[in-house]
Amino acid sequence: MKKSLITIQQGQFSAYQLKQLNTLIKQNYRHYVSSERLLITWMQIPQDQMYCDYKPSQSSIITIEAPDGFPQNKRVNMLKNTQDQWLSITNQVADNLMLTLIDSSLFSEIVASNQERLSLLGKLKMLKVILSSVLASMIRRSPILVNPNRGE
Amino acid sequence: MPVYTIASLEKLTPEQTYKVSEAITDIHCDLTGAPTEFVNVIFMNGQSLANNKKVGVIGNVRSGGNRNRELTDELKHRIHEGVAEVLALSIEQLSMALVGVPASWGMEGGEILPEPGEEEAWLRRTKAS
Repeated sequence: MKKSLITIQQGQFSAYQLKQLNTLIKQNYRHYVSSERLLITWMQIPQDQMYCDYKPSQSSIITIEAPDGFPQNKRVNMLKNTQDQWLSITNQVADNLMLTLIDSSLFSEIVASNQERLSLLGKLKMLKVILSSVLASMIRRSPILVNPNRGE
Repeated sequence: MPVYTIASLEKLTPEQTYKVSEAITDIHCDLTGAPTEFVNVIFMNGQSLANNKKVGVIGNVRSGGNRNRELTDELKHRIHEGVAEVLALSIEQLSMALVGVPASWGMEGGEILPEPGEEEAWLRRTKAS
């Protein structure tokens, strides 16, 4: 199973848009990348906790794991088509959307660096948050939504 | 890209989040020549950090192009110092890591990201379209 982390602002998109976007990423992954299952986690950041260019951010940041050695022409097709379809669903401008399709080894390094930053207690707390989000998503049949800001 | 994430146990004040994002944007762009509109800074509070650190900074930055080892080390060092200074913490109270991602693996503004050092032509193209 490969993974995807998508960072958005809290309340930026409706529940319906989120479902559409979740489906879009999964469909495009299957079409352009692999038939392997893709687990998408949506990180919802409160608006005052995300900046771009010195200002509160309007950006969405999509990071998707690809098999190692993924061909660049296929990567560009995936990114371009996903971007175009995402923008048509959200009405965002292209400047507010960043997509990366990262080979598995480097994706694992990014995940590991985030894990290493946390204490054992921090890792357990994060695991609990993710597992409860997965459970809620299964019950509601909705995307997996996580707010990493737990001191709110 | 870059995307910097700042994890802390306690929630930073609005003034602190602004000043940290400002310091990171200034340092990153001064040192690398990247445009300020590339720089994303995300805050995550309520995080218990390893080794009793108060704040943990991770930057996912473009690799390759004009970015050699010295420049990357300098960037890491200056961001580490800059964030510590803004938050009135010692260097030892912060953890700092950078992860390099090939520019050609990302897209922004409708185009594959430029190699570090080739931003000017890329910006002209994306702003014109």
